[in-house]
Amino acid sequence: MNALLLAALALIDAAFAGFRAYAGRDGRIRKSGPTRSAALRGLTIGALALTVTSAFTTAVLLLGGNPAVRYAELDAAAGRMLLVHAPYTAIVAASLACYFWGPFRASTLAVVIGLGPLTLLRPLVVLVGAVAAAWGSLPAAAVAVAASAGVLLVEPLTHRKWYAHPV
Amino acid sequence: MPFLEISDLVVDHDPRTLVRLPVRRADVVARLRDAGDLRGARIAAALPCAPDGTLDPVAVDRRLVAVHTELQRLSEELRLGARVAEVLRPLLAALRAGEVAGPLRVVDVGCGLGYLVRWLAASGVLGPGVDLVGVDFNAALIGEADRLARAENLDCRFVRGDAFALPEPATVYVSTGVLHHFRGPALDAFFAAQAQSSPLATAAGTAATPGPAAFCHFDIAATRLAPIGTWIFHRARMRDPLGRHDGVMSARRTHDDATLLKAAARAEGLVPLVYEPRTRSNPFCTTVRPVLGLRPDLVPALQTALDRTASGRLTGDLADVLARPTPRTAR
Ligand SMILES: C[S@@+](CC[C@H](N)C(=O)[O-])C[C@H]1O[C@@H](n2cnc3c(N)ncnc32)[C@H](O)[C@@H]1O
Repeated sequence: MNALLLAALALIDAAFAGFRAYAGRDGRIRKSGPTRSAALRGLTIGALALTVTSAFTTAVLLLGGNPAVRYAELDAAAGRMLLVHAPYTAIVAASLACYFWGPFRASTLAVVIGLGPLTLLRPLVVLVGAVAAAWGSLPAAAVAVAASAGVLLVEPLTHRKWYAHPV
Repeated sequence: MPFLEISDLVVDHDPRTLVRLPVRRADVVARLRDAGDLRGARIAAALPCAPDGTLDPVAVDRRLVAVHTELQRLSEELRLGARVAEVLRPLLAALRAGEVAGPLRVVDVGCGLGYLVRWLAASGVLGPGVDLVGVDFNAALIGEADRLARAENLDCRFVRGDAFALPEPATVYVSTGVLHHFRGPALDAFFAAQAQSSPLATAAGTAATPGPAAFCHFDIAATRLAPIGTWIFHRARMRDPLGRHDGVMSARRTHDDATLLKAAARAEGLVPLVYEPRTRSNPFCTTVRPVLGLRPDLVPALQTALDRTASGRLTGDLADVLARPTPRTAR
């Protein structure tokens, strides 16, 4: 269950990463179509990264001793990672809600103390999540590093592949 | 120590003919170094240049267009178009209610890629009969603004010209993020140039008095938080180190309200005002705000219109503005 929640979060994050990889590269005014396709591109790269992480996790699960014990170990690690990611996700969601549906001034506030700083904090949150998951378990550490690297790579890969130059 | 923006230093023109002049990279680096800006000097030192030491104009233009495209992303996120429209709409309504004959013209001075003008054209918020024009002295930015407008079939145009010798008469001059580029006498001259611009020809003939009916110039609000907020925002949203550098410098050298009001008073015949949040606001909510100049007969009309619709109010009381705590003294 914890792993599924993390996978869902990773995919949502990948769509946003796709948007960020594209943002600032297109000077047009009307660009909801290109924005959607950037999110889809991020999602595609994110899904690929998730596939690689899942394959790696399966290998870690099956190749080391008792799979049930290993599963419990990895599930507990995923729970610790979620404990770090869940509050961050909640704050991002609240900032986005304020930005899109709040009055003008609230949307400024959402940008200034929410969305801007939260983007800067994101790699740190991913790192802390990985450390929390890795705590006391070598197999969990390996999976956490692979998963976190995958999450952090979506934006630069999408940017390099599709948005290296202004469109 | 002056705060310098690299993009101001890497392009030079003859102010009269607008012919581009070569810029020596070593001079740019030296100016930044002399200002104590070693990071800026490093960024400038990495710009490509010809064997004779002059900056490669094509590479500089490409870089500036890319930086301005990233900059547009900040304007989009801060909903700059809607912010300007919040003041422009009632202003144009007040003008229409008066005896202004013929079309109204809004001219964006120092328009860069023309985001504001193109957004106003695309959204149609100002209604029909408003001629939208962008002016900038940078040929590459004006060319890109024009290309983008045509790509989306937008009803607006872009003209190359100097803010101190405006090529386009206007009903209202606007700008975003431009005021901090002008310091001291240049800031006074910026406002004076608008008041002295040639009158706009209308259906009823040419207006009797020179200058616009109003101006409305938005820039970064000089709050205590502006430098750190701008650093965070540029770090999070811009990739190009040149853009990040210049963004942070903009916030450091943005003018406070008192400086702007004093300079805006140089625009003869127009009443200088600032537009600010209605209630005492925390600086997190104030990112940009405008200084306005209004023909006296427009002041009550706009005041009333803003009272009904907008979240801010106009104030021109310099004593009141000076009494407020500001992060730095008027420069
Ligand atoms: C920080 S940029 C702002 C661009 C645009 N208004 C925006 O909000 O994205 C400042 C712009 O002012 C232009 N500029 C500076 N001095 C100028 C002058 N004397 N005449 C015309 N344009 C000028 C620059 O070329 C640049 O595009």
